[in-house]
Amino acid sequence: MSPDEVEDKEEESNIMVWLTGSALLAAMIGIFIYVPTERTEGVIQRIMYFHIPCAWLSFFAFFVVFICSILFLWKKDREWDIYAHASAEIGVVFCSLVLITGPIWARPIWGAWWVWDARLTSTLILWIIYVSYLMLRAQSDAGSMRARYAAVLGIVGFLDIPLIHFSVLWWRAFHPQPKVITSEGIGKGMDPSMLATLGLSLCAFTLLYFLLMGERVRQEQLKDEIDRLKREKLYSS
Amino acid sequence: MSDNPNPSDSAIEVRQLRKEFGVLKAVDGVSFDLKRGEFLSVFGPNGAGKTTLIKILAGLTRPSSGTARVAGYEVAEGRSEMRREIGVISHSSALYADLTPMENLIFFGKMYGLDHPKESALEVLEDVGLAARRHDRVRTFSRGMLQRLSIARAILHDPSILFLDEPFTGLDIHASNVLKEHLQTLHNNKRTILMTTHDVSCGLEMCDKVALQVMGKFAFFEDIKDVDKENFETMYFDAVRNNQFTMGIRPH
Amino acid sequence: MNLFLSQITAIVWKDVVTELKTRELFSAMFIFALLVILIFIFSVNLSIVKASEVGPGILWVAFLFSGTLGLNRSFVMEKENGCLMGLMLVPADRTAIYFGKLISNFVFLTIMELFILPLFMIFFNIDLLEHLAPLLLVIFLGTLGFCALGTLLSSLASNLKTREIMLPILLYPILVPIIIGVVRMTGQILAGEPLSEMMNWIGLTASFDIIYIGVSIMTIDHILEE
Ligand SMILES: Nc1ncnc2c1ncn2[C@@H]1O[C@H](COP(=O)(O)OP(=O)(O)OP(=O)(O)O)[C@@H](O)[C@H]1O
Ligand SMILES: [Mg+2]
Repeated sequence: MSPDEVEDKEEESNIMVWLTGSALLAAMIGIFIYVPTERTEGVIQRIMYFHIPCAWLSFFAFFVVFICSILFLWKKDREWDIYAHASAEIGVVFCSLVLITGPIWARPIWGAWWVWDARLTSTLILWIIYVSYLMLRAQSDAGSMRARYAAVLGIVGFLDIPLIHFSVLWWRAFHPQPKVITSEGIGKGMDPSMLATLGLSLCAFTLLYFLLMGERVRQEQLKDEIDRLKREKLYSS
Repeated sequence: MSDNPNPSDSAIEVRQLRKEFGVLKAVDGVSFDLKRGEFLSVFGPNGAGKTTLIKILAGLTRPSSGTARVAGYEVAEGRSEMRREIGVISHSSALYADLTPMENLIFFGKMYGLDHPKESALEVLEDVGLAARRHDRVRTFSRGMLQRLSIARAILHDPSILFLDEPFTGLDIHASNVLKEHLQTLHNNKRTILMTTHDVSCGLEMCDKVALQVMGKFAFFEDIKDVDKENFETMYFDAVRNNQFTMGIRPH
Repeated sequence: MNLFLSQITAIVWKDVVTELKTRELFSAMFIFALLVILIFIFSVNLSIVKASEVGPGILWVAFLFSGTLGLNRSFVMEKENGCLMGLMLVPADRTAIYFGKLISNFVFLTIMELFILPLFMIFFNIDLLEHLAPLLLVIFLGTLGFCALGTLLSSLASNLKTREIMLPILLYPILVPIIIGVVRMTGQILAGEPLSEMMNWIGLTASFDIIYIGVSIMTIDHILEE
């Protein structure tokens, strides 16, 4: 990278940081000050404005892993491998947040930390699949083998999502659920201000994804560069 | 061997072949031609990239850049027609330890689509002198016997091009004479052979062309007629020393 | 095409001959499955829960665990002495190698399952014979899906340092849909429901089989490469 390019990139990422920061701030104001408290659920319902964006983002991140994996196997370009890796890491982080915020909300509302509800179960399985994806990456040495194997798993894992969804849905259908508010019920009769806050929060989190993605990709590229320089130095002496 | 789409007399054509593992350049811009029926010996210190070169030519590893044509087929395409034309002896024997030599060779014969796998298997086992042990488990074989058997596996389908990666390791005097004779016969029968070896006298004795690979590059590629056999070792050491001090790995 | 089929049969033949000589795999898989069933019998109180309710789950967990044992072994055998490299050198399509290994894994696992079924019948006091045909269909679909994905992932895991650990970690989460499906179907069959009642599950398991055989055909080239 030339110094000019570095400067350009830094400027870009600065704009990105400001944009994301202000969006997140706006979302916080929306969530904690602007939006009215939900009547039946009370204050705990506000966690939904984190929970839903996190769920959406983790899903989006895994979709990016899928696409980048296909592109990697096709083009065999290290760039795509880096994107897939970064996106999987971010996806797992957001997926963990979903699994943490879910029970916090469920405890007062459903009366239990964990209910084997279809969505929660699917999310848990998804989380395990992508943790195993990251484990696979950690297990193998850097190089084309790791990238190829990870890409295959990235494809195999994502194609499983619809199958998991239906199997878990039908699995639960056999045990009639206790009368609780299902997560499907949330969208019903939502106040416009709630919808607006949710939209804002979604935007802010999506921006956060791209910010993290950019940082993580750059980090990985620098790591490659350092490794290259180090070995160059070693071999030439 | 007759239905070759490209009946030119080049068996192997290599142009600017490169293979990089990160910054390490295992094969670094190698170009050469080998005509049908020629015998090339490749020498080089450990880690020079000889095995990597053979792996690329046998279609086991993709090159980072450059092209290589073997028997008229582009190796990067990974065509199975090309694999039918080549036989490979490498560091590992590629034999199933729980099967007998006979079962191993019949299995590979079937994989190559031979018409009479059993007869072919017996024939090559006779050739390498293992016919008497054909019903023992491969697991019980000694190092040299394994090497003989992997030679049998490599020539089972009568390939027109042979890649031999240090074929003499582990062979007793008798077996290496047998192998030398065998290579001589194959050579006389117009088979193309590319062999890497650390045994200078043996390599020089049989070949038509000599190559010296140092740090991925061909430091030397000559007709055997132009090689001063007496001073070959001196030249070898000079080339290795010069390359290590001056070539290094330059930033790109 | 003819060569393709004869190459597949050659691989299956080779695996079967190896197994007939060593008799390592089959006995290990069988005893392991038996042990899993026993451990489950000790850990659930059969006087409280109904055998026909926990039975299907226990049966499939036993199949799954001992099947993993077989998968682990199948590509390790190919790695020994660099045999896989020998396979890469023959003029065979990579998919022929995949199908050869898939079929031999499938054959071993199915035979083991057929040996386990009578024991299961005795231990749990469930009459399988009257529902044998639908049960065999479910076992076929489930085992095929398990082997389709398992063969792909074990070819991948065999190149890792920690292959025995990584294979189940990679395999089981992705198998979740098929596990839920076959356990449900087996339960319903034992309860005497006809197959027409579980078309959705059959569809799901069959799609799993088709999707993962398809994905394997498309990606096996990238795994079986040095
Ligand atoms: N899979 C790999 N990953 C990383 N580096 C590799 C790999 N394979 C080979 N190398 C490196 O490439 C270089 C060339 O290796 P190669 O095996 O071709 O040497 P060689 O000439 O056959 O040596 P020897 O005479 O010892 O057999 C070595 O430095 C080796 O470390
Ligand atoms: Mg070597």
